[in-house]
Amino acid sequence: MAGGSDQWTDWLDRHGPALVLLARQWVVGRADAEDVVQEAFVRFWRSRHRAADPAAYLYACVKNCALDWLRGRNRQARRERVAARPEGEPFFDGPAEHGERRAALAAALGALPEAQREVVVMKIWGGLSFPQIAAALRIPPDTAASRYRYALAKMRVQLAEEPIP
Amino acid sequence: MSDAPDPLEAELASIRPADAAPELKRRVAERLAESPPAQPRRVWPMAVVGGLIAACLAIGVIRWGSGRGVEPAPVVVPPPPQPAPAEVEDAAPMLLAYQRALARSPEELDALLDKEAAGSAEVNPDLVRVGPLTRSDATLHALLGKD
Repeated sequence: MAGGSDQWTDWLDRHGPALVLLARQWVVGRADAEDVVQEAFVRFWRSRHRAADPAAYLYACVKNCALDWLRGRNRQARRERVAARPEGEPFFDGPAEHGERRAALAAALGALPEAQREVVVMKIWGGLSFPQIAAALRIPPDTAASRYRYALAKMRVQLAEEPIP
Repeated sequence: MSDAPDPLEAELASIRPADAAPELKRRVAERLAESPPAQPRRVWPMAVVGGLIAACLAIGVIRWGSGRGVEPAPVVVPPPPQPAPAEVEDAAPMLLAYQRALARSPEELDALLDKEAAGSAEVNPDLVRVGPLTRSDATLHALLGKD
């Protein structure tokens, strides 16, 4: 279940972390990614009744807003400023003892092509089905499923040196 | 896809993306509070219906106008010629003159009639006087080609 509540807070609590993670594919800084999610979520909530699948529509809104953000003026300078930060902003939360493994997973995810990475984010952390992912990305469901399989295969190769418990 | 659990998939699902900042929820709440609730959903269908009605009316008017265009043009009947005002003015005094002349005496009426007859008997120069045939029957038959 990707979300069916009529309370916007439920939607944001359920999908917020995955939406920010998705936005960070195109928006480097976490604060900017949250700005994108804010704008996308407001647009989504105001027009969600028109969507055949609201959850798929929410993720599509985030991607569109992130791409709009990229097209905005002065974005390049902001991206360079964020990239110049010495400390990286973590993609995932969790116990410190698994920090290395989380970093390796994040690196493997970040090394994926964009088209595969967005499918993994929507499937694993967004909880969307392949038809929902297909609707969000306007691709056939089989394409969404094959991108997911290819992504996992690449990540396995990337993580080959890391033991998987 | 296989139903067997994929270790990598399970490991990815076990980690959680970093939580969004609490500030995000507050800002979303502010934005949603200032927004009109779903007003475009009502305006949009009304605009479409209004457009369709206007289009139907326009088509009806165009068809009605083109149908009228096929009809034959109305025949323009020229108004009947009005009699010349001078003739009316002339006729009334003439009749009045006859009545007055008769009232005075029959002789005076006769004199007036004679005067009018003399005036109207003037020869019209446009008329052609036709004289009697002067050629013989034989000559006429020759001209007409009869035996």
